[in-house]
Amino acid sequence: MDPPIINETSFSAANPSSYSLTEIWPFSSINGGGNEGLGLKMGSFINGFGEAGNNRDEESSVTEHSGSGRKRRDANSEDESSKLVSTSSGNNLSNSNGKRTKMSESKDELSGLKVDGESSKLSEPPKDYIHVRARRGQATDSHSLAERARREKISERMRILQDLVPGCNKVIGKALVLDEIINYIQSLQHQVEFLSMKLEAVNTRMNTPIERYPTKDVGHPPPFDATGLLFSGQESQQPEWLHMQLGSSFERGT
Amino acid sequence: MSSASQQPTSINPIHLKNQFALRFVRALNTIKNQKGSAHDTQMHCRSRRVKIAAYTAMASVVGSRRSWSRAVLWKIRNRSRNQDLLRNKIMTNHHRRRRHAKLCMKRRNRNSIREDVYLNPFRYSVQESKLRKMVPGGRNMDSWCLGDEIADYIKCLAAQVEVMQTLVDLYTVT
Repeated sequence: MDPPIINETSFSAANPSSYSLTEIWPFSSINGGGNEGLGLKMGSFINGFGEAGNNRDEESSVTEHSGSGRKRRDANSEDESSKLVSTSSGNNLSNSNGKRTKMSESKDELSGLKVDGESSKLSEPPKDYIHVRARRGQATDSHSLAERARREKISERMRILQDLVPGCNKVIGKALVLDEIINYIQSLQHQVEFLSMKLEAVNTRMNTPIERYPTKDVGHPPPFDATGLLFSGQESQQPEWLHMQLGSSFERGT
Repeated sequence: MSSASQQPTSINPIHLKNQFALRFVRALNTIKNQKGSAHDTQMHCRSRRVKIAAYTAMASVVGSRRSWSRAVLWKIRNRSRNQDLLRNKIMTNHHRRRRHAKLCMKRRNRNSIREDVYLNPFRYSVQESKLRKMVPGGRNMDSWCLGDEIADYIKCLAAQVEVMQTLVDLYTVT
């Protein structure tokens, strides 16, 4: 809130509220029991004293207008910020030292309030990191939450593995699932061994080497490009003669 | 925890199969060419070479992204490097193997002591030890990574088997 506006409202606009200044802003004396007033005005303090450097100029302007502002100060305004400025001007006129101390006090309280706000803001973000929410009856301390998150991760991984291994979805129990996975890996490795034996036999039996680039002779084994395209599924890009050459084996591979 | 939280980079399966087929066929050709010089080798040895070529091709396609492929590549590189040494020291091979087994056991125990003892299906079970034996590089693997690595290994093995089956079919038909 801009200080000049506050000054204008406090001095020119007459505010028709009834309660007296000392009730809400009992700052004429330092020890004047201003706890309630401080509690009420903390928000206005944040607004009014946000710019501490401008306060001096305002005070000087206030002292100039002091003659006309005296009486209006008694009739208080509804706006708390305007009250604040008016009281500050009044205090400045009556005893400047007391006002200074109050300003420092209010600044201290303001900083304390700001620190409180920061700490509350700091306490919030760690809640975002923990994605597990404790349900009713579950432990809520950090260790339990972390443990729960870890267990969820493990079960998720198990689910991924179950999806990978065929026929593993119906198996219940982690030990059995692991057995199934072990069997599957073993069968795959045996298959690799068996296929390598077969391939070796084929490789030795063949007179011509397996070629990477296609040759147009019909009797030759299918070239590598055929196998490469076979897995990519780009059938439309293949030339005509490849289709002729591969025949039925091509369709089976895809 | 950090290794588990990172998202694995999965390869496009079509790309994987293509690359694997390319490398594998190339390796088969080189094996065939080498075989002309050493024709008298046994069939068992030759099929083993083909198998190793297949695993190498798959591991090199996956690259160093995965620890199982890294383990395979490391093993093969060491194998080719140590081949001459091994040929010279056939007599001491048995002792060496026994020592290696002991070392692995030691490493295993150290790992199991170091890691946390919580509920984890990949830990402290017969299945876990079996899995560790089956997946290459599984002995030194963190129990957190083991699940991811197994999943990726299964995927790659399935793709490998598929490609090899297709190749066998193609060559036996024609």
